[in-house]
Amino acid sequence: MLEIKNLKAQIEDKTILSGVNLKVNKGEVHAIMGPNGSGKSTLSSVIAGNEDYEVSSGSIKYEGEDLLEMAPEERSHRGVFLSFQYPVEIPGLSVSNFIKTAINEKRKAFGQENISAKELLQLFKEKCELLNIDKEYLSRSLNEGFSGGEKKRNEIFQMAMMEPKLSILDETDSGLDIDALKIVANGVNSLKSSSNSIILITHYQRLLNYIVPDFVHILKDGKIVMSGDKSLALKLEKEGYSFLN
Amino acid sequence: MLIEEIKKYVVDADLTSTQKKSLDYFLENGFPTTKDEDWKYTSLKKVLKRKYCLKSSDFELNDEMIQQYSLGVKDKIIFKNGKIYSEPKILGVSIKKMKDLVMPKNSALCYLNEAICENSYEIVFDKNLNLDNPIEILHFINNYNDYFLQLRTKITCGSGSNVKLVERFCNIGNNTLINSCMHADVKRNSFFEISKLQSYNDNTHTIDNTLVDQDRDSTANVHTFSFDGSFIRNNLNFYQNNENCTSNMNGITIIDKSNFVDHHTFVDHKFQNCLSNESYKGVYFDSTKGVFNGKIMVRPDAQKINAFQSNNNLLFSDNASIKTKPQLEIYADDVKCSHGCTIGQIDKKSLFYMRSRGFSEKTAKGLLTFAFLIEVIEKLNAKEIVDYAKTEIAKKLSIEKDLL
Repeated sequence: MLEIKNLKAQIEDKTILSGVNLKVNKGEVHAIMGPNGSGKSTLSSVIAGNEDYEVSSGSIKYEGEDLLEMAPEERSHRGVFLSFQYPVEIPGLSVSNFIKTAINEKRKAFGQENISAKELLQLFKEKCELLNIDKEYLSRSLNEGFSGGEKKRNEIFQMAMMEPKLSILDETDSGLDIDALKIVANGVNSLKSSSNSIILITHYQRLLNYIVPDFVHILKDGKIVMSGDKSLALKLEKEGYSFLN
Repeated sequence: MLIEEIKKYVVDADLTSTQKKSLDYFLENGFPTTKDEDWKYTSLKKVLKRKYCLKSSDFELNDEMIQQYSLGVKDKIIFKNGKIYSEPKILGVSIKKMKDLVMPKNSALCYLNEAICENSYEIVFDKNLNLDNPIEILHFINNYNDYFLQLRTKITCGSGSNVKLVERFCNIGNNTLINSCMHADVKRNSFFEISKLQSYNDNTHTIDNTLVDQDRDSTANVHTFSFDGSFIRNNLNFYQNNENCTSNMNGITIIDKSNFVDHHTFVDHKFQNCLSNESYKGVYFDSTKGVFNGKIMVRPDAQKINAFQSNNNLLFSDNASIKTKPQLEIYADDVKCSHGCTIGQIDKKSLFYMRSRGFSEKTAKGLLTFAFLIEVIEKLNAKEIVDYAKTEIAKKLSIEKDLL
């Protein structure tokens, strides 16, 4: 699904990723952990196509094709989804209109008809139930006045509506209370299948109790310095990052 | 050069003594120049350089042309080069041609208009008349030569009346400079609303002077949509002449190419317990230029005034510019006034967020811009106007209207 080779990236003149290697196969869940400033969010931004970051060398292959050649919208059309650490607020644009347009932009890219009102309503209903979301919320302006937890839940709601192949959840657990965390984790688990993959970026092991990863990687100073199974996260929780030294 | 044309023109004209006085005033002062504080950023030089004729010629007008410019409302007042062409038959609405129509003035251009306008009309809405639907005022303009046209209308809203108008200048001919003067006399306890649809062709240069006098317990709304036309200057003045008046001004400006739009507004709060609300939003593409000057005057006896003003602008190009200036003069102490202006660009983070959800850059920019404008759109009541605004906005932003 995704193959990152020796990826180096910088913002302005500051190098943040200094040679990341990562392979994610279909159906796998990978967790990326690491101390503050290790480059976790940069990695997710680069995969999603944020033009603020400049890739200086290395490659990212997605389904065998050069991901770095694609515009952010094309990546999305092909099934890449980033759940933002800090989702933006767009006053004046409703959640429903935003998601409807996102779905139709993808359909348009593949020469398909717009989604029918009936189909859309059904999908909204289903996914609202999945994430325990009040339908009234669909008519609110996107993220405007949402609490931190609501914003994160909204990200996962969009993920549920768009059914991506590769989801990158950037600190989706931060800002969520324990009940909301369970709801969001349940939502993510029910979207998991043998044909899609998930990359979880997190600081805490807590999320991994609910969404169990197949692999855990530790990113430090812009490089993956250690990989293992879920027990690595437990070790990290217990000992902190100091054991890496 | 145009002044010479005007002097030649008046030799044969049969001016009343008032018109003669107004002419003298104009000739003494001439056209405003950038030396005048109110015209500092707005030069008429280029506009006045052309050779205009002042005499109008006749032309054929057919239903197809009318339909093209109409919003589809039933009742229309149609003018041809300033002359009345057709009027609706509505009980309580009358239109009179006036020989000597004296109106308040806010610049030398109003004096000129008073002096040489051949077709002045008063539209009277009887007291307690309640119009459910807006009436459309369509001015069709077409002249054999490049044309300097004077339009002059007085609107009287009788006490207790409810009047909604839509005004549009439709230039289907050559280069035209329009100098329009409108005076609305909004009587006691009446409601007056006019939407000005400024979607002109590139040959049209417009100076629109709109002065609104309000009596006790009245509300006046003026919505100005400036989308096309090479040169637009709007002078919009409200005079609150008694207590408990409400004045609302809303503006949406989206211009491209090298077009120019200037909004000069003025609210004169003379009495207590009154309100004014002003919200103008502008979007500037290419090498366009915009000017906004919003003056609010609160006179010494005008206590308990609420006056709000905002002007927000988005610039889409390094070559576009906007000069914005709030101007508050407050001489009373128990008032609440606020003003704010912003100039910015589309937020890059929002743009990336939307693109990462599959929105093309064009659609993302379009929807973000529409979201920026929606605050003003939500203040519009008439569905025809909302529909017009959305159609024009979608066109300007090159996105499908269904997305809005």
